[in-house]
Amino acid sequence: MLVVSNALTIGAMLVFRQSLRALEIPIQNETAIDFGAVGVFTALAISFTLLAGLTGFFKRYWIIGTSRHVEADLRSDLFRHLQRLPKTYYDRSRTGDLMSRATSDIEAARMALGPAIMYLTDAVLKIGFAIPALLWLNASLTFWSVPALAGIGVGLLFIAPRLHHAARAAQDQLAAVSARAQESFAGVRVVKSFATEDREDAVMQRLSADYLAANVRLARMRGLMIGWISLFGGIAVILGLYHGALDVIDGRFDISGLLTFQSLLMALIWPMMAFGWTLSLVQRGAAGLDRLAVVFSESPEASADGKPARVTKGDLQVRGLNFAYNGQPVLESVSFDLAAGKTLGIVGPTGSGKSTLISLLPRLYDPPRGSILLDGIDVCDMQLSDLRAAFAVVPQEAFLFSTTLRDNVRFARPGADESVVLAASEASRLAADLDQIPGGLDAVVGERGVTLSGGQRQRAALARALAADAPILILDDALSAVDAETEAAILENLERERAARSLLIVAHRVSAVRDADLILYLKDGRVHESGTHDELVASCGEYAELARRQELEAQIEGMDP
Amino acid sequence: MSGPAYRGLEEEGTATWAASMRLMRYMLPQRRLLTLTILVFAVVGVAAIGPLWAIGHLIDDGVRAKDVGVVERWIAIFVAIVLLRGVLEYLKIWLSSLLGERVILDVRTRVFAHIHRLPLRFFDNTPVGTLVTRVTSDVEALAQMFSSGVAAICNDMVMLLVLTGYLFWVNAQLALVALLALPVVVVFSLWFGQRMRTAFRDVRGRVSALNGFQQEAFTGVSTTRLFRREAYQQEQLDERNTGLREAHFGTIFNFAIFWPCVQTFSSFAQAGIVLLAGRELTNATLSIGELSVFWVGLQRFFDPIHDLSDRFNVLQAAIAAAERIFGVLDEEPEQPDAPDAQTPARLRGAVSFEDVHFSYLPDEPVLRGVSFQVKPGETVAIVGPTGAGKTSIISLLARLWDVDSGRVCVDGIDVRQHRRRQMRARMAVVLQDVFLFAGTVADNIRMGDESMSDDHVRQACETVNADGFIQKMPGGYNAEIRERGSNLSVGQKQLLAFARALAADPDILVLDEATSSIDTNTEVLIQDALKKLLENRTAIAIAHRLSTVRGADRILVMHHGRLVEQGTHRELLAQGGLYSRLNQLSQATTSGETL
Repeated sequence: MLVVSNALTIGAMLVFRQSLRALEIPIQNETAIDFGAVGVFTALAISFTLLAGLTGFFKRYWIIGTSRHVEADLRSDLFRHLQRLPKTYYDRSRTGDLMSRATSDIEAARMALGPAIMYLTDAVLKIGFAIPALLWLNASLTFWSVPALAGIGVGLLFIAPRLHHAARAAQDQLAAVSARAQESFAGVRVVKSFATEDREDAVMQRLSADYLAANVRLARMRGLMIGWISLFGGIAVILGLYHGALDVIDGRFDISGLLTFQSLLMALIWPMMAFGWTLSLVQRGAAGLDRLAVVFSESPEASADGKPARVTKGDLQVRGLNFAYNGQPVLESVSFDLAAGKTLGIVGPTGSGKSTLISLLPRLYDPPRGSILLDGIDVCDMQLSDLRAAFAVVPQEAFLFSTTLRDNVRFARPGADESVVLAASEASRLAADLDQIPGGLDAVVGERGVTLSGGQRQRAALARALAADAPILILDDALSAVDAETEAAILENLERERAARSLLIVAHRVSAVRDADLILYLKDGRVHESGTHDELVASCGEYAELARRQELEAQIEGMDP
Repeated sequence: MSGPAYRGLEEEGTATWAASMRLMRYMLPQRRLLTLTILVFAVVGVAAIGPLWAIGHLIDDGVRAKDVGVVERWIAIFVAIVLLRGVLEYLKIWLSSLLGERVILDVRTRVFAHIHRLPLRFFDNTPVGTLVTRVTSDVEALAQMFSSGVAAICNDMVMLLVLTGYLFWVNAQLALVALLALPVVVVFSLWFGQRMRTAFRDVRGRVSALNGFQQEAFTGVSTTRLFRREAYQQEQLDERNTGLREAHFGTIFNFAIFWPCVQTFSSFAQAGIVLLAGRELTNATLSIGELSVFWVGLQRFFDPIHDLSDRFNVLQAAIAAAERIFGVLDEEPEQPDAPDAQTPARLRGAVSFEDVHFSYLPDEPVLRGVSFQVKPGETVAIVGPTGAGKTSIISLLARLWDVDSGRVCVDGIDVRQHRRRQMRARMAVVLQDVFLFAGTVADNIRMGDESMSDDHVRQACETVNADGFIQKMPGGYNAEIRERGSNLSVGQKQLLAFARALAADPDILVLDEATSSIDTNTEVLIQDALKKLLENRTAIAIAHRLSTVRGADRILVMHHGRLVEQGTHRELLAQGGLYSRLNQLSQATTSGETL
């Protein structure tokens, strides 16, 4: 298609020349014009143009279309890979960085793999057809003009990287403006309190002025490029005109040839530009691909290495669990049993390792071998999907997706029927609020949807976990934003189904764990105290103090003014 | 912010007009540059016929007359035109960018300054991201309008008019035939412009949906994993990804079909000329040179038409951005100071609340008739359970909010009669959540006051025991603080906030003590620092530390928006009311140090 399209375009020019020539020669020789010949050539030229247009359409459609296919495939692969990278990778990467991999780097790679290579091929072909046509028209003219055109390509080799550099500098300045604005608006209370608005404005003014300078530099570089192209294109045209005119005077050339020669030169300007331009695209694309390659070289979670094992009971045993993160010990010889159908409570100050412990159970982080057993099998020997099917976790920060409340509830079982959704919303006490949420279960939540209160979000996350119907339910400080009365009601609901599933509750509030079969008080990564609520209170340890303090707090909150 | 999108067409028309007029006002200060730019663009437009003119004469007077001298003269003219054009093209881009950027600098600074002067209520209801968009991408869209909108439209218009005029002047009949295609091309361009816009809008919508999805998927990756929905998420992505690709094909189709169509139109025009030219040439009403003018001229005739449709796109986007920007500029700023407002260079430091009622939301009163007085130099601690209205007292005093009824007075004058910024400058507010800016340690103490000496900064830090850890940081006072102070501990941030307040040497110190637990060593430093900070000045502290409460001259006990008890620690204990209960509570904790 590329070949045909370029051949036809150049061909149309040459045929048009013949029809011009059929006009020119008789005028020159003062004979009658053969209108038949003019008509035939013109009709031929038109049909060439039409065909060139048609093939040109397919050419563009194909070139750019291919690059879009490449882009879509690349994005899909990247997403698949990222989905499988371990939690540790996400802990050390910012979402913004991941997003720039998924957007600008993919775009750069697309430009390099698609347009750049295709345009380059197109340019080579066009030059390949145009040069013989020029030589055929007038060889000596070709030797005069084409080198000047080549000046465009040479100049762009020089200008394109600088243009790109200037564009990057402007982008960086914009990022600086944006970051400052972000910070300044986020810290507006401090700015106002210290009455430093004027100074903030001055900083912004300075950053904006720098940005202005960077942008104007970029514009001048662009101006230089356009000016350069226009200049060298002009020089080529002038050289062709001058020597062509002399040739015509000497009778070695004709005016129609001269005009066609000019048209061919103009048609060559773009391919000449393409050389310089595509080179910088390829450079950028290579940089983007490099960054993508770094992501692709990260090894994903080991998912398929274990034995398939369906967890039926959900007997959990933790044996002398040690865990260090970034060289810092987080958990030290933690041991406990959670038999099927029992409830375990975990309390302790911030940073005592509660959340890390929860993350280790479904292997979001990899625990040491032999320290966590589920139904008697080492979790390290299980397939990830089987292992995770055994847990339904309600995380500390209830994360909901931007879809309907119903789809969020049945996230784990998209096909689940309405009764499952309703039962889960009932048990989680989400149902009680549904009439206050516009749209009820059909309300779209998340960033662009209905804003839910913290308590509503937590209850929706709980409903999601209940609908998953896993043998072990884990609440990771998941009721912190729910008021005491609702919390009690929810716990009562969960208690009723306790025969069906074991319960692991991490909490700051003693009230959430007081009925548990066993309570662990974690401190500095160790089990500091353990026992039932009554035992722990009787032992007058830190748990007992926490309990007393929270009781007093509740009393004061409830006091009438 | 979604309002404008749903307005009726008619209304949008007038709003667009109003926005355009308002934009013009920002161009006024740059009118010289604007005139120069338009001039350059006009000259470029006129210069476009230069080559045609030169070629026509070169062929007729030089080549056909076989006069080498004439050929050389016209070549020389052509050279001059090409050089001029090269320079003008450069100037054109440079000047239009300069113009756009200057106007934009002005707009950006104004919007930024305006946003800072909006009341806190506005910030509570508007996400920071939206505000950042106003000063970045919306302003960028405006810049586009100046750099490739207004002036470029002048350029294209002039070029079209001059070219048309010249062709008619050379040969009216041929021009008529050649330009027969013009209305068709214009209509065609506009139609395609419309289609392209629709296709691009579709793409943009899908891109932002896809990016939103990916962002969410990355943030919620743990949830996906715990519920084993990776395959489902992949399906969701692929669906959006494929949709985007298909949408791209819509634009590709339009893009790919446009140029071949224009080329075809242009070749029809060429054919028309060739067929007509035969008769005219025979009748000698047309010369070969004139025919050449048409031949070359047609090749560049359709470019500006195509560009015009693009330019209108840019204009539309810019107007839409301008409307959003004006939306922010039209937000009422904080009430301006009363005309007779004045604040002395130093405050004595007397504070009084007189029957103050206040609410953030209607029907949800936060303060219900609070009255108290603080004498100059007195230290007052405010205590009370969560939600008692303690923080609101600070906000009202610093006039971050205004009362619903009653009066807040500083030095006996209603705060609303003070000059707001001067008064705030004489008060230092230390908030619970210490906000540090990206920059050096010293920058964060100076808070932009460049006149503050290094010694002063260091002294303040030494006084509040911050000097020690600062010296240990790489670079000391010039150590870079990362975004939000993520490289400092909570306690260190507290000490820096104290140093910042002390360095400002305020007449009134307002403190919202942090509740977060801090390691014992730092806690000792903080308590000592607080004592020095509160010395010799009026201080109002929302206190959580027993030491701060005990050190206060007077304690105000708040509960449910009312002042329920006040007095010294001893007096209040003796009363056996809420304070004694709170005190009991703090005794129950292990550290015994937080209230």
